[in-house]
Amino acid sequence: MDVLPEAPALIEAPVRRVSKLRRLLRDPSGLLGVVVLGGVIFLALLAPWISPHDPERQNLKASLLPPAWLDGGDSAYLFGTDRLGHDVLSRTIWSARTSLLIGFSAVALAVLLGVTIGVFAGYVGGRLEDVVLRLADIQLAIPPILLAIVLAAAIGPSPTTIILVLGGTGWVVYARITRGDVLSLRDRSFVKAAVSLGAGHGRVVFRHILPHLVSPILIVATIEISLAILAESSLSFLGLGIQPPTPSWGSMLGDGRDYLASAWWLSVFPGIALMLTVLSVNLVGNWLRDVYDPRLS
Amino acid sequence: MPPMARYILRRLGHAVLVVFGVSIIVFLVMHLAGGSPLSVLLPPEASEAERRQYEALLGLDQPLYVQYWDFASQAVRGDFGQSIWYGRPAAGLVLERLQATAELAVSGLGLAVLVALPLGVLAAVYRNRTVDHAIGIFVVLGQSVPIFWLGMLLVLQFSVNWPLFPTSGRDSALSFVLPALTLAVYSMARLTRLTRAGMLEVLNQDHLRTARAKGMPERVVIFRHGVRNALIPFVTYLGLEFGGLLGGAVVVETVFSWPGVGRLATEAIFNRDYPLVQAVVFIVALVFVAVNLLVDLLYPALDPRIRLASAS
Repeated sequence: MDVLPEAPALIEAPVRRVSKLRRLLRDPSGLLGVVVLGGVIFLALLAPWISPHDPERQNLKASLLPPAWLDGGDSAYLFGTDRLGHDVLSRTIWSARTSLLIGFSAVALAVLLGVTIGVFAGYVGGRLEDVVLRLADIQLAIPPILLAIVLAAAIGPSPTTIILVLGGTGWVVYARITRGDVLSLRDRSFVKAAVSLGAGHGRVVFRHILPHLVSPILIVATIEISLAILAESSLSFLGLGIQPPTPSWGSMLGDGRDYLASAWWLSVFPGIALMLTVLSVNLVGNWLRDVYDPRLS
Repeated sequence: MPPMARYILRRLGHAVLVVFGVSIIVFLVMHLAGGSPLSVLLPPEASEAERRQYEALLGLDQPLYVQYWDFASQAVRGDFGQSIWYGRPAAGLVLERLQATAELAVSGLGLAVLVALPLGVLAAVYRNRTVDHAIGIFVVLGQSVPIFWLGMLLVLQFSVNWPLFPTSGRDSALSFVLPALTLAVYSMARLTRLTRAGMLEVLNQDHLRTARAKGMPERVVIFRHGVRNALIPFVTYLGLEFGGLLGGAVVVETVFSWPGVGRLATEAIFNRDYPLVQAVVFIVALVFVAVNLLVDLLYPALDPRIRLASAS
């Protein structure tokens, strides 16, 4: 009987690690998400070597060519060309770079801001906490896209602006999660034990509190990446995000809208790429949530 | 003071605070925008003296807090200045367009609720069965589709290939269908997921087990005890969802050339019509705060526990 207290710790760690991988293999949608997202990241990284044309090179002689398999198509341009003779396939591949870079960076910034603010609010408490909560309410009262549009217009559209805007407006959700968890962890016995052993605030926060936040933050952040990619493409679609000639799915779709009736391929291919990317990020996010927090599924 | 009055007062105070904060953000962002409607109002060859004169006229030479005070005290009276582009009061322009957006948002939200509620309940009742998985696929697809792209595909299919609905504008009942449907998809997925989660939580509770144990038919258990309780968080969420819809409307209105506030905002930005941008953002935020206040005030009527909690 005296072996019992140790036993769970001995068994638990290796079993859990195996089961996460197993659960991925058993969850077809999670697996699909990982594979598709992996593919998109792969294409984005290899864009300079695999895209058949320079995405920004115009060729007015090859303007608005349909996809290669249709009448009048050119085998050099598999997905056809746009009004300025840009190769749609090359631009679609390069756009993956733009979207992933902005999606990941914006969320990284939002996590950094939100967790920092949340830790301070939860750990310090008092007046600071009140201020943070009110700020969060104020931020939530302005629809995020509207705020992003106005900010993007105010600072001037560029990839950096979009990252700053989406990152700067996305902190609220992480601050709330972090604050809530810090509040509950702060009074747990292991944290109190660390404090009574003389651990400083920094050590308590970094060694005893932050590690517990990794999985809830990771789950939310993954879903938020898909929202950031959608927000970037919406801004670019409206003409307030990535500016031509830099390729971006959103701005390609914005151009395609003018040719919806005559050149459908301008709207269909970038749209499919965008949707598959967002879908794969969501599937990965759902899978992470099922693995780390089964209560929510 | 009676507890309900205190609850209402606290919520009202909170709303006022939020509106005050929003006004500061809107003001600062517009200030960041260079605060220079001068570049629109004046020809590029205007002299420095003319610039100064205009700055003084518009109050741009005053310290920031004076400018804010002017802005806020006028805004309280519903005055957001003149639209530079239209030469008319900005607030009036926004209010005219607000109706078109409200029609779109309300019909989109209504459609979303009509689909999401039954789907969410169904998914929860048949948890982990085929129906639930099928609904799960629908949800994740709905969350992943860029709505402006969905709108374009709908136009391509139902306006261009099969000319059933107009491609754009707001002229007839038919012109409602595609924009409202597009906007609805935006909320449908999230509301379905929320309903499912709410139902699952309720279905596990003791009073439902008791109801079953008493021999109550499953249909009654689900509808009278389950759905009614699951609806409570749903209502709060509708208030928040409305804000998302107002944001989504910006994009949908552009796709369908719908004459609402969203398109007004993007046009105003392209025209550098700062007073108009300011008015749009502020008034939309105001509407959003009002909707959420309304939801907060309705809440105690729906959930007696809140009444009790605020009484203690």
